[in-house]
Amino acid sequence: MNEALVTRGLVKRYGRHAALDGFSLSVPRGSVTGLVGRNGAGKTTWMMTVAGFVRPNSGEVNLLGRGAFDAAVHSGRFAMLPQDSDLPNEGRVRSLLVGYGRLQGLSGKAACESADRLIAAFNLSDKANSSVRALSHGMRKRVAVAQTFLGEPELVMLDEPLSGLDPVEADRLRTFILARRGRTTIVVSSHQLDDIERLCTHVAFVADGRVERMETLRALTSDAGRIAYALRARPGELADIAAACPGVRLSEEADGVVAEFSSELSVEAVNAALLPRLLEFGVLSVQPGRSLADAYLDDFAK
Amino acid sequence: MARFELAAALRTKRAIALVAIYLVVSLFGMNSTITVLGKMEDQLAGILHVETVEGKSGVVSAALWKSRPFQKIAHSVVGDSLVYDDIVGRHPAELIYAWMVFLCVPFLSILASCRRVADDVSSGAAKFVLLRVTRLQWTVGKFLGQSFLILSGLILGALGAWCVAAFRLSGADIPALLPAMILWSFKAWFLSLAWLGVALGISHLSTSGSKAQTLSLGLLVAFAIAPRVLKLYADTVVGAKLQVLKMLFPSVMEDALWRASPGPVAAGAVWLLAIGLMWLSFGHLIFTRRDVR
Repeated sequence: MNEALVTRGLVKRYGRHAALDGFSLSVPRGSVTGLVGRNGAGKTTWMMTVAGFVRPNSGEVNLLGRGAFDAAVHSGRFAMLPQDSDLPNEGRVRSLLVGYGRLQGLSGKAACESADRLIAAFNLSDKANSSVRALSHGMRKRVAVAQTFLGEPELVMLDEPLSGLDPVEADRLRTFILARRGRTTIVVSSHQLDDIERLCTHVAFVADGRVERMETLRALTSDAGRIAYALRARPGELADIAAACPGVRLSEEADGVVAEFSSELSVEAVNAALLPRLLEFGVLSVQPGRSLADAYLDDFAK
Repeated sequence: MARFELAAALRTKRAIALVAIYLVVSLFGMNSTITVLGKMEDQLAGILHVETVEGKSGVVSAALWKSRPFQKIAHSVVGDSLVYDDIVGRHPAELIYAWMVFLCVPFLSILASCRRVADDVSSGAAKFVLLRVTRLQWTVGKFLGQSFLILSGLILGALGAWCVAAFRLSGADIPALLPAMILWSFKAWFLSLAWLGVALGISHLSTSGSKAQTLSLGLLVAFAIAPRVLKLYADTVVGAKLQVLKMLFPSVMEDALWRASPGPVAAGAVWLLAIGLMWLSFGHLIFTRRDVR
């Protein structure tokens, strides 16, 4: 089975409002899949449903090929960072992580080793014996993220993992997640599309309680005829430059120009025609395709 | 899960504070009642022309049972002739401890446990655990963890009360008081299991700790009043039918724990456990059908 997680037609209603309205998504094994959508789109409700916290009105969940979530079956194989959930204030970082490890079936030694590894990985060594109450918001977040990776689970779901982290710690977490790409299946929900773009191999656009589009990141960001050129100096007349390559429309952006063209033209052909004209303005970078944010805003949100 | 819960409960200042308050109450209660007992003894010693030891009580504790006022007090407190027959002749300090522990245990159990589930659910802390254990394991673990906590508190209370008794009382029977008090603590622990079940069952139903606490304390009051109300209307047709409801109230089974012979005590203990498990199961059943948001 190539999917770590499959949900089909999940429906969850709160009164008349459908938080999930036929949410179907297959998460490929070993992928890092990003969920993108507006507030209230259903991302968190879907995660909570997969984790068994929310009972769906209808639909199917198949988690790691063993049916809907059941702690007796999935404990230790599946983990989650729930959004807006507080760790027990009185717990001390290391003992809490060891305790969670023991609860999911790790031996005392394995739980200690796993906890120590994660404490080091998340730069919490000097806080290992501090109580959760004494930690800053960002540190608590790191402990909460760390607990998801105890015992190396096969599937991890992270709801807004980077929010509240300082730039250094956010980068550390991104590196940690990237190092697991291919080994651990990870689902990330975030409003930070730059982060999703940096971390994910697959992206699902979610709206109104269902998945509107699910693609690989590459397919989402490079399927449009678009090249962004970052330039040191402002170019002169864009029409003169565009004349070098019929079928290309050039527009000026804050740090350069963007060329948009139909699928009949290749990236290579457009570059070959435009770059010689743009070199005199100091070409700093050439970015074919579009960013995830552009893809989301252009194709989906507007 | 029980060990995790016990460790978590011990880390919370609330549980420690409650056990500490219980300890203070048992020490203070034992000390105060020994003072009262001493005064009664002195009066009785005067009447019987028996000598008392300077500054200590307990020399005439056996003779105290011959005092009609003391017998009347004991009988009215016990309220049941079978129980009265079982406790006649026992050391008054032992009985005072037993009375005190039976009085405190419902409050101790309710206050220590009624927020344990609701608080974890409302803060979201429950989610970190429920990803690792089933809801049934969680419920049972909470019950076992809390019951060990209460038992530890009761044993500590017995030790503390015995120390006060040993310090304040004289007589050869003081060493024998310790196992007797510990036995009463164990009996009270069975009573606590019923109240724990009530408190944790209610806690499973609530979305906030404050609501769970209010509801649990409300039930504590209701359970204290209801058997008396049922007794009042026992002669009516409806009242007679409703008498069966008494079996759901932990306080009704308390008398069995006062008995000396193991049969009634075991029956009472089993019934109290059943009451606790019934309330716990009720809460758990609702909880399994509930979203944890």
